[in-house]
Amino acid sequence: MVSRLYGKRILLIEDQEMMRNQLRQSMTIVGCKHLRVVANIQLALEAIATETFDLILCDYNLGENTNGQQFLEYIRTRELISRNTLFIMITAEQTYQKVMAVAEWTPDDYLLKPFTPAQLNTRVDRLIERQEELQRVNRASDRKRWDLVISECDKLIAAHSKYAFDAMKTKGEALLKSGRGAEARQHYDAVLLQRPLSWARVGLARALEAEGKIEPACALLRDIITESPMVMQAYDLLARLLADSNKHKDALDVLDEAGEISPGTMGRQRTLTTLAIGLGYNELAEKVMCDALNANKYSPVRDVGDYAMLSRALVNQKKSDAALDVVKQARKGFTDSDSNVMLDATECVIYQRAGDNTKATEALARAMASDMTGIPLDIAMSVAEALLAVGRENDALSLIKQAIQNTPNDHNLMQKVQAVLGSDGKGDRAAEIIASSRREIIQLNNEGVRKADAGLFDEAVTLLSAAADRLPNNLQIVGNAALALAQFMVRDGVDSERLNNCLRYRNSLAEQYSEDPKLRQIDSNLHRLKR
Amino acid sequence: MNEHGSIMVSDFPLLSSAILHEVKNHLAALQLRLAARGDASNEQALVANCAQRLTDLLLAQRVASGMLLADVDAHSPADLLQDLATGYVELFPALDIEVNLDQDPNTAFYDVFLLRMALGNALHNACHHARKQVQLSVHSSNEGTVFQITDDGPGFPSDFLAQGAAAPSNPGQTGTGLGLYLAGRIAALHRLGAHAGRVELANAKAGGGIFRLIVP
Repeated sequence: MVSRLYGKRILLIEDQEMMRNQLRQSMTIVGCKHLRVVANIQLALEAIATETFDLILCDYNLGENTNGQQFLEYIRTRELISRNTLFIMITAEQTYQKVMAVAEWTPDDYLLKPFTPAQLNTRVDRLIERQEELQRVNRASDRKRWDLVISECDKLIAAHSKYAFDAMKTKGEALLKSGRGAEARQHYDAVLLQRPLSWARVGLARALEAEGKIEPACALLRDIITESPMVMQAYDLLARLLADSNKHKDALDVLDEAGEISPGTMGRQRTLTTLAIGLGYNELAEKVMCDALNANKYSPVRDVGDYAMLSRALVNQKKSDAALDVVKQARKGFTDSDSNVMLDATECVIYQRAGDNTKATEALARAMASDMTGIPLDIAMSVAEALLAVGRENDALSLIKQAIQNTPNDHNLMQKVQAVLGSDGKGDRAAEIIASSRREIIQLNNEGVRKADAGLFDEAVTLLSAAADRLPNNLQIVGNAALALAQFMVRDGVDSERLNNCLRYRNSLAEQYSEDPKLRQIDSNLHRLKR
Repeated sequence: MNEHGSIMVSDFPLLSSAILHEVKNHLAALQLRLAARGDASNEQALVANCAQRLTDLLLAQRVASGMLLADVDAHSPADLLQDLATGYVELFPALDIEVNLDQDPNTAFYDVFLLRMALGNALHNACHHARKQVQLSVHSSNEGTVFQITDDGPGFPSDFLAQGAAAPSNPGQTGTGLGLYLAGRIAALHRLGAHAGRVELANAKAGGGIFRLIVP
């Protein structure tokens, strides 16, 4: 029996030795040559870091409090595998992950134990057929070429493909990702005329959000939750919309309601904890994060920030010893330099609140010993919190501003800034600080671009380069700095320092977002230099 | 557990789920081991039946607690029937299991996991009673999508035909009764406006049972 499995690269994750051996044997019988078999998530992560797989077969129950769903959430959110990699979840029981089936991160298929090799084969065959049919769409999605995604989906829809509804789903997402709210709304309306499918209803709510129609979006989401209480994305989206509209308590209630249905993803627990801290519900925050960390004890979905958040909830309840224990625990699992900065900053806050100024100052000095340029938003926020705690408000605000300007499009920016300022009783200033920081960097960017357009390259380059060095993750700034430098040299000739800087910005942009349309503009200018 | 360390009635959902998980793992390893031998289809069918009964038990529990909900999406009914047939061709090699796709609609709307269970139950039943032949087919009607499984066995007993897919009169009864009841419940979870899915049983004039599951 030779199937489409032949020649495919397959990763099998199964904690039980007996099943592992049997599956290995069965897969070999159906013609698998490139089969890698591992027993846990850690080894699976190592495998996907070094090899590319066409298919991942993962047992749901991986023992020691870890499961296949956590692994799937982790690798999909971090885009560690291509959309062209198939993911099949093997489960002993269909009913308990019925909840998971409507969660945000769904596998391509579930395989219910027991199964025969022929059943596995047919199912995989089917998925590979689907994957081949959707290959162009998936490849375009991996490259974030949304226009291409949309046109490829349109072809499948027009051809009445067996996968037309998959194409409709992907098309809607691509329209939303490329900011075409009105078109997305029309698209989802058309799908809903055919059938009231939950994903299309949630999509419609997202389209309404994209068009700025927040009230109707919230009303629709409430309807979805009432009629189909297991559509977890509806809760997550509604909570975000409410939090963005400063209705933090309502947002918290929605996520609480979601928790009754499904324990949920780590992402949801984080949002819930952040909201609870911002609102001063520290006991709730402590409980939610404690439960989440226990449930994910051995899983890579944990993050050093989760421990910092738990510690914050404890500090706010004046439980400094417990908070210090949490930091100590976190230090065992997270030893990289960013994590150290965050944990030092967290310690500073704990000591300061406990009245130990000396230890607080020492911890803050350790946290700020390294270069702060371009540190991730979460790390920056924890240092800002420490600065606020020791009374260095101006330093804290300038660090917050820099972090906002570095990653102005971070989805949870509002909640994060709110949580930091909220702990210091300045929660109501978050919106204003975010808005003014964004405004300032947009103005700076526009001024730089205007100067370059007017041929004032010297001034444009000075302005944009300084900003790009300060904000290495703001791709708009970095891209425009590279472009201004390239145009400058096209006009006035090559200068080695300018060329070096130009290439540095260009490569940084390419590394962070290889599909940025500005890259082509920069490269065509650089090309002209060679002639 | 209570303070004396005894097991309480409230521990049972967790306990049964843990045991079920363990047993299914063993059944899964056994299934693959039997398949590797190539001469043990009867034993494989037995394993499949044991697993199905365990799944039925869990489903019944979810139905009783009102926690069974359908996650409806667009799927290819032809794929579903072919997947089901593949499994049973292996388990019942003496039977002619045919998938008739003369009138299959491109797309239908259902919860694929639930339908796989409901139709799997019915198919197992049909294979068990068939003499030589089992046929699976799907077509559209004004009521929705009709999945049909026919066999050339003795047909359904008359009390089944009368009772249909209502609640099993005796909760202790074996295979068919509970399976049909669950299939009926699964069908009914599929709703479109005022219409709900349903299960229909009949006997063919020439003999043999006809199982139909209709989703709107």
